[in-house]
Amino acid sequence: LLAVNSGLALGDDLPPDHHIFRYIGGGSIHDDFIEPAAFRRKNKGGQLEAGLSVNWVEWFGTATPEEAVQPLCAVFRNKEYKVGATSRFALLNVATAKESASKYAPISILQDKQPKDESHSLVTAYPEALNDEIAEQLHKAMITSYLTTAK
Amino acid sequence: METAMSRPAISGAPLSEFTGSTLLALFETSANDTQRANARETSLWAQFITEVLHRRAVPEESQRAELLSETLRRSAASKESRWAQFRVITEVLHRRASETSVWEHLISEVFSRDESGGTPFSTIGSDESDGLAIFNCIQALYLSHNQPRDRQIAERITSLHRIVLGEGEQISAGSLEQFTEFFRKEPELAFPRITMTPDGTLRARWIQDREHFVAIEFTGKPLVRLVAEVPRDGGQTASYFASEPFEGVVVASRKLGARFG
Repeated sequence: LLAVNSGLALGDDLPPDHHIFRYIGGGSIHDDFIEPAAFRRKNKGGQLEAGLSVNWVEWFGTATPEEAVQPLCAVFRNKEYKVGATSRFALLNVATAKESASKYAPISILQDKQPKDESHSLVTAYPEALNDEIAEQLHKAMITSYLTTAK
Repeated sequence: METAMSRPAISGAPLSEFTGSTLLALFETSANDTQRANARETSLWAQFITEVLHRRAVPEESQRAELLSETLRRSAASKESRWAQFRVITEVLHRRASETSVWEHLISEVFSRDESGGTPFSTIGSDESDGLAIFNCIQALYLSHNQPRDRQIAERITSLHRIVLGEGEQISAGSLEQFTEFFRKEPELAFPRITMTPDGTLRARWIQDREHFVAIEFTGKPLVRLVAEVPRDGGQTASYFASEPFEGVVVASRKLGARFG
């Protein structure tokens, strides 16, 4: 990976050869199995999230995705987001994720920089009714996953 | 621990006989005594039993005891509810009655302990009704007829409950109740992958391979969520995303070609 900490504006598409991390809570993991519903947009107070929260891996400028795990955990903790002891980050390539999801609908993966989370991005632009379908396809596009305790 | 409550009853029986059934009998005697049958006593008895379980240092037993203890200690439910919980604990103990040799030491240790020393159990904040739902689920699964599978499920739910609490989340009580009812009604289904979705509902997934699986999400409502992929002729895969009535979801899934093995 190359350092590319800038160059994209809010709402820009992430480059197709770049990667995203999706946080997978420990409750979505049974032994080595990650439940695809972990890639589903959450229902908050009867309303579905606007997009699936992910993080742009290349933003961290590390040599490997694995090296971005701890900096990202620090970002999460700074946001007072609990990082579970058994949780993982699932790694996906942007182009592969889009291609896999296209079985059901075209999706966008956009920069969604936030004050305490500049690598924050969103998988979005697909209808609510396809939440499960897209989740299954994103799961199929997963390259690997890293424990959040990985160094 | 209050000596007036515990010592007279305990002293009447050899410590080696303190199996689940003798403890239950002692508790029943105690509860029938109106002067001593109060919530405080019930709570202390429950605490005692769970401490004994905890101190046996069998990892799975210890984890279970801790969960039971959390539920009991947080419970502000009626005395009857605590009674039900106590009965389950003693039932669990009763099933392990062959291991009586460890009891003498453990009981002596617990009774000689100063209550001000606290307990080894940490309090984890959780809604009381959800705590009771977890307890009831584990109770139902432990007492079911399909012991090996349902014990596995109960242990998985125990573990899952603790993991999600540690992440500031909790399993939906309605989903858990439906999940438990499902597995008690379907004793022949294999042990699945069991996870919690981001919405707090439980999902069970039976996986044959990457494109051959069936998953049921227990919504806690009359319609459950069904997700399945089933291989078809010519190397094709059929995908299903549906809502199905809870009562007929297994039959409906099998008609699609899904397997629960």
